[in-house]
Amino acid sequence: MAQRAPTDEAALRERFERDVIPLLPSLYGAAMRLTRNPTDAEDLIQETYLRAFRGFAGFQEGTNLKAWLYRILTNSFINTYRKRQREPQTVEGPDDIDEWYLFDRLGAQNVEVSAESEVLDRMPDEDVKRALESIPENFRMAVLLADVEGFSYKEIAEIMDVPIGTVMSRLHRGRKALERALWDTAKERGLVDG
Amino acid sequence: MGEHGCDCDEARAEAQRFIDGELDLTVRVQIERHLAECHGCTERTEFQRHLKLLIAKKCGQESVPPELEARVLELIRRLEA
Repeated sequence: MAQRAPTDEAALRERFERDVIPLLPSLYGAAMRLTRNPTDAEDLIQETYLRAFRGFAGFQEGTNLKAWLYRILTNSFINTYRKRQREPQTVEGPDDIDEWYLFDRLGAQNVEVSAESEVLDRMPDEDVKRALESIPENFRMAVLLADVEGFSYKEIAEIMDVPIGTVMSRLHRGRKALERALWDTAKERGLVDG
Repeated sequence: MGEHGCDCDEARAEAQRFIDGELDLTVRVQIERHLAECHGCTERTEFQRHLKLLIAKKCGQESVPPELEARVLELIRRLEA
């Protein structure tokens, strides 16, 4: 293929800077939840933007840019940072968590129904972030993509390259694991009687 | 599921897809009909929905290091497209 004309390259750069750079805050938040520290999160963002820029000519304008970028972020994380972090990989994850784990426990606190959710509202952002970061990676990614980033099951399936059924099961188990982590945090903080 | 909604087991089994907005209209309407008459299922569904929103709110804000955007721009400006 012939080399791209300079004007095409300029247009591509302009489009990249216009469309992709503004997504940095949202991608950085996801990078923080995945790597769990600012240094690795910055590295992951730089890696993601490098790969995105290199692949941008092949990105079809008008298709889902955000999902495309999250796929690059997720793959970069898996290929680079996961190896570095040496976190033991939980493939199966928690299976023994009750269906209504947190609801049942908060409900048993002799508080009014509306107060069940208020216990969670009072929890500092940092505590909820740490709880999310404590759950196994594949589950964390699913919860992050669905709840924080608002992607649909179909989009998450494309980003994580798994069938929709796997997305649903990871999301379900991820949420249960997160509920347990939130309950443990609420107990530690004295927000509930454990 | 019946014509006039569903039972608690069905509503609770579909709770995740319900709060994620991933159900077909027909099933969603059946669950909504059930929720309108079932306090227990409504409480549970509302709790899970609240939890989802809470995670979005509390995990969605991250202050980006001030120099990061400049570094990313510099990085890609040094590259050939």
